[in-house]
Amino acid sequence: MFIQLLMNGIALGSVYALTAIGYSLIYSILQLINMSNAAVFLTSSVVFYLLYNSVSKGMIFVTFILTLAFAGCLGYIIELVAIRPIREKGDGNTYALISSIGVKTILEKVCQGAFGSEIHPFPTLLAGKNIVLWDGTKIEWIQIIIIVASLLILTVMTWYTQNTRTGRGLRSLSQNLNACHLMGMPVNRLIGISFAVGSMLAAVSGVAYCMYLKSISISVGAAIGNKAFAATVLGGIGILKGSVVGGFILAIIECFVSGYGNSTASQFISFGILIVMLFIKPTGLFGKKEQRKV
Amino acid sequence: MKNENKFTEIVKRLGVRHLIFFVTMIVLAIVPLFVNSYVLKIFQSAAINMIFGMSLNLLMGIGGTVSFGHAAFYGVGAYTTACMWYHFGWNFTSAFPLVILFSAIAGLLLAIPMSRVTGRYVTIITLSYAEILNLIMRNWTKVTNGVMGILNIPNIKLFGFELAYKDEQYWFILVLVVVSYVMINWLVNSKLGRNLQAMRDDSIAAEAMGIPLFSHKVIIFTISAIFAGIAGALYAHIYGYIDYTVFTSNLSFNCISVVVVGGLGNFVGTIFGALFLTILPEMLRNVEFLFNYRMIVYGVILVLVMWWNHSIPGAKIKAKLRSIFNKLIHRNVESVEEV
Amino acid sequence: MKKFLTVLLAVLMVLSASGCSRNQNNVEVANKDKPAADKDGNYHVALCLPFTGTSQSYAKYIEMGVNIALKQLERKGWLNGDGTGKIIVTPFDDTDVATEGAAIAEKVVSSTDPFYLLEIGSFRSDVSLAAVKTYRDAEVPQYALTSSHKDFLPSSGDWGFSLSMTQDIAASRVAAYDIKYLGFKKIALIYSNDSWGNETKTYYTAQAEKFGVKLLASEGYESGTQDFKSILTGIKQTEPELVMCFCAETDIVLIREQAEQIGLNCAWQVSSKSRTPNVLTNLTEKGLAEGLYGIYAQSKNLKDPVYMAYEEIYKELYPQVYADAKNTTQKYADQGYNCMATVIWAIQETMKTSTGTTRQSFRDKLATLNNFHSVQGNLTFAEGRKILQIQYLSQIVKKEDGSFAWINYEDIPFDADKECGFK
Repeated sequence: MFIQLLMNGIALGSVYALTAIGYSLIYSILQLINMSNAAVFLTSSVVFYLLYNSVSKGMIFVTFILTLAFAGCLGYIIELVAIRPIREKGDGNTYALISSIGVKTILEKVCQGAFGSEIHPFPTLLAGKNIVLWDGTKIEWIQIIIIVASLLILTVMTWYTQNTRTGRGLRSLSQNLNACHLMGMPVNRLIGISFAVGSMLAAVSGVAYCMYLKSISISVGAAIGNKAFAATVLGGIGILKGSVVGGFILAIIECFVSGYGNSTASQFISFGILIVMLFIKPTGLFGKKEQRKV
Repeated sequence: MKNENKFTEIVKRLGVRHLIFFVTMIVLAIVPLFVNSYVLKIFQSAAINMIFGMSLNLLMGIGGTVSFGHAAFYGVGAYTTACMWYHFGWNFTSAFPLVILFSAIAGLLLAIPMSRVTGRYVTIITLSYAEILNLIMRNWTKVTNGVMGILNIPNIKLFGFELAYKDEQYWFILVLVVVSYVMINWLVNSKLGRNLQAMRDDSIAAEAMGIPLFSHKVIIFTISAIFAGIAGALYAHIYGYIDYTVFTSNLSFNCISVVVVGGLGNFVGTIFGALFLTILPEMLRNVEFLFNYRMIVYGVILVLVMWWNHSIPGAKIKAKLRSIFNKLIHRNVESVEEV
Repeated sequence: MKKFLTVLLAVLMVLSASGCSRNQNNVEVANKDKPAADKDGNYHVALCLPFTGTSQSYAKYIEMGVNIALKQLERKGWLNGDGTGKIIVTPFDDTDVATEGAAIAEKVVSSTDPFYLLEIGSFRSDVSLAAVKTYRDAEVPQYALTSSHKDFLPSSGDWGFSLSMTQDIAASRVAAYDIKYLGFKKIALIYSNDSWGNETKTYYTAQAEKFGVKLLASEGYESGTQDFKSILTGIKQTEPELVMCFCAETDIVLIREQAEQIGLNCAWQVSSKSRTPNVLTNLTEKGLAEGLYGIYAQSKNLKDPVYMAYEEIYKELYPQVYADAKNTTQKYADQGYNCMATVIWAIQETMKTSTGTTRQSFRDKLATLNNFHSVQGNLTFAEGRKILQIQYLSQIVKKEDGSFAWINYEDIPFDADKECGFK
């Protein structure tokens, strides 16, 4: 049972972690909670499903690439239409936040309209193949694929933000937006890219989650958004490593509590831990103490 | 001529905002004479949203803290009055002090962890706090009747006088709106309010000036929670049925929208924001071709309002319109002078 | 401060002045005795369902059933037989939110043109309950066909109707089938933590304890849960023989599949809410359908002429839905059809009387529904307008041609009511 729960936790944790990076990326740059991220999670899964069953029949990888492209464009468009005009005026993030809630509503309702509320089977990789451990615990290949993929993406993301020109640009944006502007950096384009990357990460986690469940319905992203955001804060906002660790911790605790206790308690615990954590160490697990300049 | 002077003097002394507020209130007060019970119900919930919105605006506009869990206080208020009726048969008047007490406690509890963190973590703390309170409402079956909700909550009773009709209820809510408005305005202009605004603008400078940040934060949260709780209690009695599904983060987001559409720190704006955002979805209900897309339109309008009010293109259009408007007015003034 | 007080006083004066002149704003009592037909002789019905949101498929099916009943009536020349006396349905979307349901209720009861004879809906008990006060006070019949909340009928005064049984009977019968007929002693329970799921759990557990069976586990989950693996792992530890699921149909597919993944092998049962063609199709595709128990309220006789007439129009109007469900009708469409059929019956009956069709006479007639021949057997409103239905054990079995189907065990020698002590 212990190992089973641990594996469940890790698989769920990788989904949280992937979404959390998307939040973290945008939050670290704009101090904006991008509420539309959870809706992008859902939209990309729906688009994947629709594409798989119509355009690219049966080809998972082709569909996946198309979905990623779609999510990237969607993220960029969201930033262009709903965030950028507000940001440029220099009004507070609250307004951009409301705008992103508007976008979330629109996307969710469009998905509901296009998809209905029935459950549908979702294509998955290596369906029905399991690894059986010594104590009889079954681990599916898709679980392992998700874990490996998320670790891979994390490595790529870390490398990307540390070593590429764009990545360094993003990091400097998160330190001081105005200074970057003065230095002549293409701030708008970079922020647009960060939204696109965040959306692509949401798309990856959405598709991965549906593959893990082998089913898709419109309530699929409902609970993930808040959890991923909680994971981000738990690990320390704006720190990729922190988001990932936060996601795993949260998911594993949740799985153990609902396995040994009950699922209501697990909801209490995941939010309770967060508040306690913030009370003890507000900057999160990996956060450094921040000195505000006067 | 003399009258005119007097009028401008009143305007000056009262301030344009307050004048607009009271004129609006008077207009709203005579609404029940002309409309049917359906429209009146919408106005009732708009009026409740006004109190709710003002309470959040106090926190957001004056306190400078965005609360994503305001629905929790609203829920605490609603559940307090409903539970008092359900278990002990208390009416609105006798439960009212408890509504204030419990929502104040709920605000206080949130304020304590808030004291440790700065701006960016506020969101997640308020969000989690609201989730936890919602889970309690859902699972503490002995007290809140759990997922079954509390049914048949009676009408508001004021010292034995029952507000059985919709228009009476509506006027009672409006009176509370006015009272809240007056109290909040008084608060904003008091020493406390000015301290809070200083904290909002620059907390470090405020602290250096000797303003105790922690106690002020606690006070503002508590007061804001009390007003939200009152709005919730009104909701419980007006609708007669509550369950946990009402007090979710969606309600908090709606409330934030009300505040932001009306303008931060602008309490008259909140009144109009509440009217606009409560009436709009109902008006869209009557549009047949939007039947399945009503909430999409709601989302689009939310984005558009933000875009119009707080974006560069929107500001440019507005400036242009304003200059045209001014020109028109000037022309009128000139023509009057010529005559 | 003085200025505020002055203006406040002025406002209060306006309020009290207008308070004295209060009059026609409140719904007139006499509305219940007004003839419900409009000037063309048509009747108006409000249909309040979650057409958008996470329950929209249920709304869609119910609306389909309503439309089929209306189509049938249209072919007979509407109520008068000569193309006049139409029934016009106005849909309202409550998005599964209680406040929306309450707002719609206000709209329906205050509307004079059209003048609604009754309201049908909503889907979830919470939404119907939020509107109960309004309909009751305005004396408009509220036909919440799927509401099984035990407080719904009592709190609706005389004006509420439902086609679903309350859980004190329904869930107890399920327990009787499981323990007394199927003979399971080691039972675990999964339920959705909402008003419906909680009630079913309570009555099922109580009845099981009466039979001397203590449930091994009883796990609630919040709506929106997608990952049941941890809950199921916990249940697996208790080694049950049967897992009873009081869940929505989307959840049951996830639960069944994830249980298979973690190797929880036992018998499975769903309640009548999820004994639907969609569950069958989805589980068949995953190869997990066989042997799933279900509970079916009422019997559906496929050779019954009323059913065949209904199916005929169903096939004609919604061929795609019919084919998707492996050539069966959707359960909620059946209920929607029954609902509208009883409405049509009550209108036709009251039209014959001297008072004509008013909200009052309609309500009185509908309350006397007795052995109404519907597509799901005969319907009767007993004492307090409680619907009487028979529940059958049902199971997915493999047919000779290799396909799967729900079958109802209608002729087994077992009386659940007797076992529960209802008789």
